[in-house]
Amino acid sequence: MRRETARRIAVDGGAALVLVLALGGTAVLSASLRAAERASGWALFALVVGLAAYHLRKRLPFLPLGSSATWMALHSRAGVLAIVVFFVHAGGRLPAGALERVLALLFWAVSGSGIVGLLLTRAIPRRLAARGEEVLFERIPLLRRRLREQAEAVVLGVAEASHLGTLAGFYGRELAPFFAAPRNFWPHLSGSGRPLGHLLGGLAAIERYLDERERGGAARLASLIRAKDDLDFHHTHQAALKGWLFVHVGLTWSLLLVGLLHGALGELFSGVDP
Amino acid sequence: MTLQDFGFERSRYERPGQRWVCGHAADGRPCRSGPDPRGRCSAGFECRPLRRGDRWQCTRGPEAGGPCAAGPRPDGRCGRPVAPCQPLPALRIRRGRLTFWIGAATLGLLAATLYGPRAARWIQPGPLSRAHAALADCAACHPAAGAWLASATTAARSPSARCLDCHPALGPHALAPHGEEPAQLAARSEIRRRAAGATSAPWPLRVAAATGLAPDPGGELACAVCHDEHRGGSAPAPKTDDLRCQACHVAPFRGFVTDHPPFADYPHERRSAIAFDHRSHLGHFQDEPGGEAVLRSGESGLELDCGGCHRESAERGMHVGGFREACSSCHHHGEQIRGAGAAAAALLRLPALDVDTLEGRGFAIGGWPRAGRGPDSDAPAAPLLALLLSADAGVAADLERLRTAEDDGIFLFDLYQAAPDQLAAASRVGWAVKQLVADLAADPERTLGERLSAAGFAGRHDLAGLAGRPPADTARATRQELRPALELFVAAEFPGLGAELTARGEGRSPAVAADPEDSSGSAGLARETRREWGEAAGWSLDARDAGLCYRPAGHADPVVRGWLDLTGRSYSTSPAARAVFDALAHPARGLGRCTKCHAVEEDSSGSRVVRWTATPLAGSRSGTIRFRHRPHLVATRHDCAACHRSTGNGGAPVAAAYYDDMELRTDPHVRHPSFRAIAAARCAACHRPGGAPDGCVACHRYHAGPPRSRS
Amino acid sequence: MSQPAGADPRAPRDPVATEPAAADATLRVPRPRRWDVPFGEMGEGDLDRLLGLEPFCSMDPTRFSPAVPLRGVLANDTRLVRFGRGDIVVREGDYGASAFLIVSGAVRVLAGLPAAMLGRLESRRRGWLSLLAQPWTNARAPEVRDLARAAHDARVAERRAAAGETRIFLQDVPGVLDRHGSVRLGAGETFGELAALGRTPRTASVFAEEESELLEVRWQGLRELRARDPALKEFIDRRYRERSLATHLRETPLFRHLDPRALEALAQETVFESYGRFDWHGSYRALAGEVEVRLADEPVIAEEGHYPNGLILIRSGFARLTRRHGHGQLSLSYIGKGAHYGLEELVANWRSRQQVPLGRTLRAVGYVDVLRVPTAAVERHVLPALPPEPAPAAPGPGGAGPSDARLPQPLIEFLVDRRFINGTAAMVIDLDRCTRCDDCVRACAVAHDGNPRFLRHGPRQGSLMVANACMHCADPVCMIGCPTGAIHRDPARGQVVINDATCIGCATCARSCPYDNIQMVEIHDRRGRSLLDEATGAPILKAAKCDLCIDQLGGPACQRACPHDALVRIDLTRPDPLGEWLER
Repeated sequence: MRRETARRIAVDGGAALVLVLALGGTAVLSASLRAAERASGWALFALVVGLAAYHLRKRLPFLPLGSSATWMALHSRAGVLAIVVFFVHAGGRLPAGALERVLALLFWAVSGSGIVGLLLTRAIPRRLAARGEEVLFERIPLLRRRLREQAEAVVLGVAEASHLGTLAGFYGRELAPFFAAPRNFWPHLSGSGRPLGHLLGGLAAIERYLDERERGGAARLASLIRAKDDLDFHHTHQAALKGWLFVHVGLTWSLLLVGLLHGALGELFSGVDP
Repeated sequence: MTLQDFGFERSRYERPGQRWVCGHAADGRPCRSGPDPRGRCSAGFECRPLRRGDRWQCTRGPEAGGPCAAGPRPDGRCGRPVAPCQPLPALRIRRGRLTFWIGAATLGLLAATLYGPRAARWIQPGPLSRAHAALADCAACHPAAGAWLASATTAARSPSARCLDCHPALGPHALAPHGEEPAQLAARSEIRRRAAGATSAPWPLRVAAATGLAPDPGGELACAVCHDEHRGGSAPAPKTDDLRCQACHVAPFRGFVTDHPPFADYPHERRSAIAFDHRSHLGHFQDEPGGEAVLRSGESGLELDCGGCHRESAERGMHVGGFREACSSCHHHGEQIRGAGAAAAALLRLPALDVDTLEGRGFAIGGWPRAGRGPDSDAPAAPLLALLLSADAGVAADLERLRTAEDDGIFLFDLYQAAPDQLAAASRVGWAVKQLVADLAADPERTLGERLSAAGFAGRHDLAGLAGRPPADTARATRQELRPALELFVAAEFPGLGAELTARGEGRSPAVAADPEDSSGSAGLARETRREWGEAAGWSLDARDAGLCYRPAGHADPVVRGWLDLTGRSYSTSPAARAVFDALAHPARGLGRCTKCHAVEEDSSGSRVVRWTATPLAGSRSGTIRFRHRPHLVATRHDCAACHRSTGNGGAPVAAAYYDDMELRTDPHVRHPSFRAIAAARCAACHRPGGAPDGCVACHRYHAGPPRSRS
Repeated sequence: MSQPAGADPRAPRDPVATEPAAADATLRVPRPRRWDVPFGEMGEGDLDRLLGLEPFCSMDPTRFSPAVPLRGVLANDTRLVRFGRGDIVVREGDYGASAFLIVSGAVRVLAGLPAAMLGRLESRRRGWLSLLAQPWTNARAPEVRDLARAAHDARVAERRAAAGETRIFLQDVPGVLDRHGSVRLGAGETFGELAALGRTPRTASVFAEEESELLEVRWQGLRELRARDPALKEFIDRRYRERSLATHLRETPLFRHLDPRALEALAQETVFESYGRFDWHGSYRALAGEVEVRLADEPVIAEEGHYPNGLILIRSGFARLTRRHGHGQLSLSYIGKGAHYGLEELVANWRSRQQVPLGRTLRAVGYVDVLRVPTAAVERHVLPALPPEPAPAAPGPGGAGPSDARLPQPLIEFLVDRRFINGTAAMVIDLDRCTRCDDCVRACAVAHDGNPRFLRHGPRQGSLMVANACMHCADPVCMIGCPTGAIHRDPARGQVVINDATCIGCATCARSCPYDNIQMVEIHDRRGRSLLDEATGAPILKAAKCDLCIDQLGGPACQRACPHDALVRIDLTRPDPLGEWLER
């Protein structure tokens, strides 16, 4: 059996087991007239703490605490588990209390962003691998600058040779802003090729007014445009891959704090003796 | 085209872990040195020129593009200064800061809400139910409220007690299962458990039992176990389901049809308050199901239906109409009652007294009614009179002595062989009677009050009943109804009574009978008027014996009812009262024969109660059953016979459960209902999976006790 | 450049701050030089004695450059070590970088000692506490070096180099001797040149049979001597071949079942050949990307279609198996040390008395040592003893299977063309899974005092990327030409590591690494001040590369830090592990 298959089976089996235990335990507690909410609540809190512990694991990468891949697998399963337990604990509806509402919204935000992130991390890498050159996110500005300088060089060279501003004008109108910064975030994220088509189309449209040398420049420019478009593509998707974590990680502490308070209040004000 | 070059001299380590990035990185011109650890720009020159002989040499490393073309300045400084920048925090550092600030903000907001003025509104998990909406102060229910942090240490966290402050109706054992007295509950559940035998409980309970989570059957249950407050709504709705019931009820219950134990003679556990035989009244029910409930009696073709007497009401399952609406249509104004029993029993009949013997032996007692003279008459004192007499201890003693003497053939009405001391006693009794009569005539209200309270079982308020009126106009009633009758009586039988008594008070020998016309009463009324007034109220002179007669005015006669209630209450304590009660409540001869229809019950203390109203006694049903007629009537299209089946002609008459011809039956649990018990199967016809609810709580309430209104 | 021998190079040099203006920015220290840290303590007397011995007495000092005189070499690149009876000198499987000359006494050379018996030196590991503290104790500034610690490290390095301190010796020498066939070496003989020059693991264990004194020559020195003295060169090469040949035959699985006499006969008849250039990496880098040119640079060992004239065993280096395909050569697979070629055809021919030609062409990739066992010898000694099953099928010229390995065709071409087949722990990233989260780089930085030791970019083939991280090559060309031996193999585990203390930042290794996996970094002190050479003012550089987290627990942090199992440190010298990983 393959290593990964084995791990998946182990992790999923474990998750399923815990799920059964959680649901069964709640049933047993409620049937024996005990506070099932208390149990499910603290279980949920422990679950969230365990989920957050993945962050610590990432901070101690050199310790033999199990591979991060295993942690990730556990993390995703535990996340799903937490959502189920949350349903058991709070039911589907939005709670009535202000604090509980905040807590529920926080939970939904964190788990929702987690799900989105999971989907992104599954989908985006293939798209990235399938297109353009693999670049480091930190290097993108540098590469963009290089492209811009090359493009400007091309345009200037052509303009000096033939003292006409046809190509230069087009560059100033359309391409200068395009090369200046990352562009077309949303089109790239939605996988649309229209912006690129627009630019290349524009370039092709002025082709007829160019002479041989200028055509050469235009061709060179076209390849630069494609390169820049690929760069934007990578920038967009890598940014997306980093961006969702801002929500997911950003709200975790609030979730833990509010959750802890909620638990404490429950312990203090509950009418059911432990 | 390829953008990148992996050459080790042209691609240096990227440091995603570093905290600061060069400000120029954004536009693709990061400096080589980069910011220092504290995020300050360390921009200087691109290299430190090196002096080789007489000229300076650029030392820029290959990874930075090798020595620059221009080379160092003549003075040895590098010609390529690095433009200083404002270093920016790295992406992850920004994320970390965001996280930190969000966390801090959360903490701050939480603190603000917790210690702010409106903390309660923030932390309460939802609006209170309308029933409790008035409780503004959390501390009313939560000891933890207020200094909640402080109370985190104290274990004072049992709001159930607070609930009971406002809900005393739940009884002393409110927190015990079903609010029942633990010992008896334990006994009962022990029986049930044995009955259940080896059970196969649902898996959660088996797990609970195995893990020791199962609740202690005798233990207390907090209110919040079932009642969730702060969920809005009209009241904290209970969370109950069959599973939770079975936490204690070990008999497995999967559904009403399969697992409910058979009914024990439901619904009648006691005979009803009214000895009403539906069969004799209505003939036989039509037993074919669905047949409408119009019932025809065999002999007298009169038509009735259940609705004639029973109306569904919100409070109690079915309301039984009172005498007026239910019975009076036939038994109109109770003619039978008016003369029923020993018609016009002499309530205040004087004892027959052997006046001649007394006078002959020198114990003259003045005037005495002719009808009341022994040995021609041998009527004993009416129980009520005896009761009033016994209020005086001396008289009571005399009566007792004489009663013992009866074995020697010595009676009040025949004192021929009496010894002197017995004669004295008899005379004293005689005088006491006269005194009583006089007092009554003078002021019946006060007299009755004094005597009864002296007899030790009545307060003033009871006079209302005795006089047949509510307390407000007791005075008027006694003045205008009882008193005229008494005055008439005195005038008729004891002419000159007042004079005799005063004379006796002065020790003189009683004068001879004065002229009957002399009016000794205070209110100088014409003799006729007095008679009419008295008779209008049911009082009249006794034609046969010497005394006042009373004739019940009709159904629910206040006088009889009052005396029954009064004497019944002290039935066990006072023999005199018992005598009165027995006389009045005698099924055959009782005045008005109330007990022919009204059940008489004897409670634990031995006192007797006449059930005047048809409504079931509070708590008469087993406390946890909850039955509402309305939905069932809808379901059966108001066909009462769908559930209530007559027992037919067979079986003892209903009345037999209440009395036989001479004496009363006071045990309410002996009964001969005119309806068959309703079998569980009948309910199961509808209460089945997929049909009407068939869970525990469909028919049972957790809190045992009197049926309370449910809307 | 050289220093008078015997001068103590480790006198602590306190950093001298330059003019206060630049004081906070820079710090001037002497640039380290070759022989700053000599191999061992050599007194003048020892040197004189050595120069009187063979082979040194017969060497011509004038052949040595004035910068690197014979005496200097002896003084700095050699040392005298004493061993007691039974002491283990070198262990089978160890990576060693030095050869030995027996000055007095005698040693035994034997193969196949159980590992337990060769009490392995455990190499230094950091304690739990220091590991746990890493995220907080790591330097904030990039590439911080602690000069004081550097000196200390140097001494540690020496102590480790001088294997004398921790000795394991064999309890029962006679027992060992009759259980294992062994060779006795006496005074004047040398051993260990194989490992020293071929950069291959020790093929045998050596222990002192009696009280003996050995001269240990680190391979930089050996190379120096060999280059300067033809006699020694001839001598070394001959011994080198004999020794390696015998041991190698004994090691080859194919010959495991042969009795010693047959083995001896084989050894007699086997021909020793080597193809390609010793410094292939230089030429490789110079090559253009043209496939034809590259193939032309890969000499053919045996040609497809020819008749097998012998069984070919790869002794070291790599060879590619190709088949004619259209106008070009289709790479079927690649084989490395220990593999054999041509057996299928030989068996087929021997069984069915025919003459099946070779199915595939064998080309030397880089530098390859091969042993050619003539057909006759194989048929006489090997095939009769060969178990009938499994009978290897002879792939005729027609039967063109896509490739022997489970790797896709383009991937094989990619790996071989780029010489990634050299890597024993290459970093391969599956870009279909990689979320570019840089956890690997951060983990690496945390494990290396805040400095990443690789770059998450590199050549791609499809969705596979071989990142710029040290592959810890089977043939670590980076170690060639290191003047101080700062870059070396860890004795116990064979990772190629750099000793910072002795690295002089000459960038030789970085330049000779064909994969650009070694970086030259400017070092700073704890406060982030960059350290400059006090003489030239140029920043002081140190070579930096991945050390496979040798001092950490649980292996490479990068691999364990990958949340999506997209990154792996994998042995590319054989196609199988990568194939398995791809099918994971």
